[in-house]
Amino acid sequence: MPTITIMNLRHERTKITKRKPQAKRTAQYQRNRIAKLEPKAKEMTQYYQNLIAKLEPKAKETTQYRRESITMPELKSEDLNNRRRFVLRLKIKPFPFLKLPLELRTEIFEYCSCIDLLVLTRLCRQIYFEINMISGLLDPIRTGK
Amino acid sequence: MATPSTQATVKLQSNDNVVIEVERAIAERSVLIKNMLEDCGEVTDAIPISNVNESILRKVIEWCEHHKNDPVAAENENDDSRKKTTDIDEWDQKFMNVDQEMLFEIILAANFLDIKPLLDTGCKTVANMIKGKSPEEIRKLFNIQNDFTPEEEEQIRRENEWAEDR
Repeated sequence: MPTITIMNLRHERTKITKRKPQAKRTAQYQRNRIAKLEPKAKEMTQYYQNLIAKLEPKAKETTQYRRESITMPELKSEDLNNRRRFVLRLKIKPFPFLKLPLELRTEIFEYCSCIDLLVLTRLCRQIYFEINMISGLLDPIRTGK
Repeated sequence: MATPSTQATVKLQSNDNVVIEVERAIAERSVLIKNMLEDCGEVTDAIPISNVNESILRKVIEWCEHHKNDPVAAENENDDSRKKTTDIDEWDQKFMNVDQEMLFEIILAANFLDIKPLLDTGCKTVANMIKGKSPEEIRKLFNIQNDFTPEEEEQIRRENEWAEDR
């Protein structure tokens, strides 16, 4: 433990008295700063509240849509007797879209809206090529005819 | 040419060697089988359906049974008339509410057996799965790898900019 001398105490007192006005100034500065930022904070809160209110129906719709698009396989009595088969059927495997023959993919593209087709062109090179170069489905829109 | 037959039922054999007997009218929803029966007349043996297994064949027969009284579309009917809407009737929606693998097999079977309305329903179901999803969601759904370089992605983004502005 360090020895406490009068000199040490004096030194500490000087340090405290020196810090005091600075600390006061800092606290004042913080208070001023908070007061200054308050309208900005209110404004931001309002902005986010509005944004949430605007996005909420869309979010609900998306959740609902996802719930609908997850397909629950139709279970059969034999599935219930065979646990392994039951588990296998419940596993949701991805749809092997690229394993379909090209003509069937083209049929599916024909049922898609323009916006969905544009989204599809962003999936991979193969689909980009099929939609833009083979199906020609976007040609009338791009050329404006 | 064979004489027209009055045969009431036909036997269909799946690729896993299961024979299913169905009404001729139901089997004839398949243009492939219809043409085969017209060409061969009376067929007592089971017709081999080489690309379709038992469970998918039963599923396809179930669809044909439900739609056996539907009017058959004329061969020269304009394709555009059946491709304008992605609406699917309620029974078909329930019928298509199967796992992804079975949906894939049903589409392939409908194509092989040449059952246009069933093929259309399958394609509409897939188009409805795509509807409103982001590229990332669709990649997950179809297990597709993004093989674009960042430069290519930027180029496609620029190509599609006109649509994003709307």
